[in-house]
Amino acid sequence: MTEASKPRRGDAAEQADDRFVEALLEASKAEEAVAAEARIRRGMATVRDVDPVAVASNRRWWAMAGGLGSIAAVMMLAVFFQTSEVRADRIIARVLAAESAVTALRFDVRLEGPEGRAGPDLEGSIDLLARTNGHPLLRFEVDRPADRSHAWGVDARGGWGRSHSGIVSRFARTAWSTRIMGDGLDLLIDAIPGLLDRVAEGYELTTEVDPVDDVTTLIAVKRETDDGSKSPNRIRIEVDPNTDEVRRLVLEWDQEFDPAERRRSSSKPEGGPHLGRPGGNGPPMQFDRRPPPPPGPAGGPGERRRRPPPGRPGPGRNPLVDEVMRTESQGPASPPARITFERVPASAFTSGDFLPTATAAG
Amino acid sequence: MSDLEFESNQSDPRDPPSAEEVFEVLMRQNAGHLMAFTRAMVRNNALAEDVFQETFMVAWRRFEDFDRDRPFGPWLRGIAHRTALGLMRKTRKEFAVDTAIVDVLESHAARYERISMSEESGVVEMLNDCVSRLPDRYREVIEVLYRGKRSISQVAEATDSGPEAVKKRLQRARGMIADCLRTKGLLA
Repeated sequence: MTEASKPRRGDAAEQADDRFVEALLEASKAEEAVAAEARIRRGMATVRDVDPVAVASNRRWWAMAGGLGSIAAVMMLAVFFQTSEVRADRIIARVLAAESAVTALRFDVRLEGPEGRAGPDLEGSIDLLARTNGHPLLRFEVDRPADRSHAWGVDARGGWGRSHSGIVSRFARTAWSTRIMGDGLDLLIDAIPGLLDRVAEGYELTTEVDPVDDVTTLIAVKRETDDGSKSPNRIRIEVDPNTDEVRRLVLEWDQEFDPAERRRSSSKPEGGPHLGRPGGNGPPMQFDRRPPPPPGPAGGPGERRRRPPPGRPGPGRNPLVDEVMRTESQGPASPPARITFERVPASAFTSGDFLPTATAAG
Repeated sequence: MSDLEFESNQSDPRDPPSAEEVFEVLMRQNAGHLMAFTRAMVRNNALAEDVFQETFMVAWRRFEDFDRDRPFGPWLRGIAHRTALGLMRKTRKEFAVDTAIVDVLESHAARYERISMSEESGVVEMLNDCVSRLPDRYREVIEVLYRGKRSISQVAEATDSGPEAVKKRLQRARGMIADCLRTKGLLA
């Protein structure tokens, strides 16, 4: 085959040849066999009325995704109900279909603190295990920097927290309603419908496709609202082109407001769905969006919240809880500047991996 | 013999396949050329997947209307073409494929369809043979990019050349592959 032997052809024919050969080469990739089968299965699932789009547009999607599902599914949901961007909608449907089969997940997590916050960024991992016969198990292990390591989780018995010094607190709850708190930072993670509904209504969606590696990124930008919401201002979701699974999530918060303003805003009643914790005991949450109690004679709302309801761990119970309570009594903490989730292959978790005394599963 | 007759001959006449079963077999038979046609039209894998799935749904909804005396492949590709145009309009993205190119792609896909119907691995073998005949410097870039899961920027870095140079070499390699496939009857 020599270059000189090629006869001159029309531009359209040449372009078509080039495109078609490119398509054939794409189809010759090793992963294409699996992708081709998945394509047919997805199509037939649609034919059999198990259309991922239709399923996903049902707000009870999380039942399909296996209860708590995954962080990925949670964050997808945050942007799912935007129908103005057909492309994004379809990508999300594909991702949801892919993620719905996943029962064990691990993400490496990096929390970058708010501007002006002393201390290093926190790094660790989150493990999730959906179970058919019980609540989902979860473990958030902060392991860097080493001198601030601590962990939160939910095992078969319920919720737990473990301080840096190794003191374990037990809570009766089995689900984290809106977030897990780590070292004064919030980690948005949970899947309660109220959060999803509220966040879903507040984002504009666009998509980007990297022409080199074909990675699709969904970009959700929070609409300008005056609802006092502390949900992320921007969410980036990178979708693996081969598996349709989320491979990276980045949540970003603007940092323009000051702590004094934040404390003031925390005392204002807020509209919209409440994001309060579900029943049961547990560590108090930051950024509770329930209308605060009426101002009391002394101390204001923060003072009222300092006294835990019956059964809830109170100040003095142990240093970990004390720290939590102090933080809340001072008003909502700053949102982090950024949280990055990098997906890593999940091990075959067992229930024992989610005990507070276990080390993070490798 | 139409595609449907071809399939129904494989089944036990006492237990005729359901429309759903027939449809699945037809889609499996035609998925290769449909995806090649779609990818070549939109030149974006993620979008091609969307078009494929939408085509799948539309084809099923209209399956009762399909003229069973006609071949399934061209009907499917017609749906894919209209679906791609529709999706582009909805997402307000530019669809830079003119009719002349689509006509040639249709011709290529029809040949792909004929070859794959008679020999399932025929197209793959033709492509592999053509790649193996490329001069080394062209074959290497094809192998690394499409078989080695590397990106253009990674190939550029590894070969100590710029991304644009790699893209040009790729385009030239694809041109040579096209010439080779033409001699084998896959391209018109």
